[in-house]
Amino acid sequence: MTRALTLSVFACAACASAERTGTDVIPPNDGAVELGAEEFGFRVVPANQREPSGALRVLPQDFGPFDAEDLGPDKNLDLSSPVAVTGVVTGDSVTPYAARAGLPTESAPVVGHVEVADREGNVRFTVPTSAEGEFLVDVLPGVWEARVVPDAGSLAPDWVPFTAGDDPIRRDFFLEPKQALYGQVRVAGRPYPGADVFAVDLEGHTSGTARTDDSGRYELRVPSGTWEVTTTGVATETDPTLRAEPAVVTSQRGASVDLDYPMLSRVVADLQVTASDGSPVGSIPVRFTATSLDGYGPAEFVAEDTISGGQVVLPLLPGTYDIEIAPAEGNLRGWAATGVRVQQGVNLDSVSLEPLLPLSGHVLDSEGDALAGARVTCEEIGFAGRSWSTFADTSGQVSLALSAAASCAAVPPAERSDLAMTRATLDLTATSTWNPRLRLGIPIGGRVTIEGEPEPFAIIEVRDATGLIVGQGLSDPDGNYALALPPD
Amino acid sequence: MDLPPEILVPDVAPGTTILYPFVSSVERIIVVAVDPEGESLAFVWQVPAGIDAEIPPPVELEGGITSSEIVLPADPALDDTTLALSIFDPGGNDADIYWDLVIP
Repeated sequence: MTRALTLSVFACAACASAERTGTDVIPPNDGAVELGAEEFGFRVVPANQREPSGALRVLPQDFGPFDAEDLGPDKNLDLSSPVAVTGVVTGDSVTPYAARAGLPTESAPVVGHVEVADREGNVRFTVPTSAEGEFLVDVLPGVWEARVVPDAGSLAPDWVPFTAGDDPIRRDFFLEPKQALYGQVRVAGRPYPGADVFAVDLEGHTSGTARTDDSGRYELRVPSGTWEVTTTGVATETDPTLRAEPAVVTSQRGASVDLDYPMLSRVVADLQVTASDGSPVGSIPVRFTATSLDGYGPAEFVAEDTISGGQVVLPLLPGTYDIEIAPAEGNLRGWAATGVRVQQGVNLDSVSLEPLLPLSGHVLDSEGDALAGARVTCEEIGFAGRSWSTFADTSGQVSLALSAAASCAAVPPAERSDLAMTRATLDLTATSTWNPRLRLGIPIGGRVTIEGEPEPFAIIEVRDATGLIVGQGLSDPDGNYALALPPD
Repeated sequence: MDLPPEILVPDVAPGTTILYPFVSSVERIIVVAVDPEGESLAFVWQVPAGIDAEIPPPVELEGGITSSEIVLPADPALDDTTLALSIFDPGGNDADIYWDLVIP
């Protein structure tokens, strides 16, 4: 096998995310197992997750936590088949006649979606209901909570815990109006029609969404509990998100919650952006995140756009912003500033983006010899999280151009599964050299199976308590895998 | 003669478009390929602009079998878009695969 010094990414101006690689930290909300300081977690990601028909075959699955002494060459990993959860969601259909006369209402299918959350409340699966109110969601065996969120706010959401075992599960829901959560959305004291309003309780359950009428009024229906009412305004691109103080709703009475925008007058923010050679840049995302808005209390507002022809022009509410320019590709570094004032008559300073910085070095094995074919991958810290990857040549040499701060990993070639990967966080403004030395690792291996049958081509990731990947392997056609963990 | 990369997973011919409805809040799509000459492969994913995708480094087996993965959130902006992957060998031969994404 030949391995030249080959960038893993080819030049491709239209490839929006071609250079965006790397994911070492367990992303939030993915239900990863919690790990102690001396523990490891395994995640198995099968390549063949779908049947040829498109139907789900298997899901990525976590194993652990494992103590270091539990790990060895016979760490077999048996995946479970997904469990189908089906049901129908119906609800009260309140007709004008029935509502006025106090007559029984009819039941009708509910349009919305069903979420499945783990024990920590992280939503792992979401499926819509059909026009008939039917849903089907596949989950892993375990303890879950099914949550029904109607599109409209006129019916209350509902939820129920369940345990998925080996057999399919049926759960039907009937949504009722329950209690009212109502109020008005205003701008400078005047009604604000067309604003979207929803509520979230302390456990993360979400109501349907109501839209304010011509009088700026809305009404949501929710079960008893403590609910935080939120409006995203008429458009999230232009209006801040406002959250009211939590309101208590009991079985006896609802609650009234008003939301007030002090004002929505905007000023024009004009930002000029060039490369360090003075040429205008384009196709680079820029984000303005408000840290405070003039006249507002707590509010959330993020405006995003793309630099074109060296300029970005955005209508923004006056206030103080953090600005981030985060190239998704190309040879320029990102740029960020905090506490930037945006107000009438104040121009923003122009920005010059610096080029990427060089990194070079040699990858060595445990004996200090050149390790040809090792892969070096460096991930940008912050900004767009770009990463860059290359192979060591026959002399072990690598060369990359990176952002100012990067998290780098050197991974042994497939034929050296006795070596452990090694990592470093690099400040490229202080150094331009990295010579990683890969040590002999603790051998880990076993077989990946699904319901006892070998599972070829599954990625096995081993993470430590910080969420970093410390070992990685791929099961062979017989389901066997081998990798090495760092000795310490 | 330098042969183009062979796609092992999914089990489709190069140039195929796969209908891909999301079932999880985060989907991890994996492709496994091998170069008939055993040379290293480069994977170039093309994601619709503005999508916060993650592409972990490829994982390799002896013999040149390499897997590449993309991690995609169930972002409504992905609905009815096409994800593309081109797999290149050092000689510039390539094999492409496409996914028509469906966000429920």
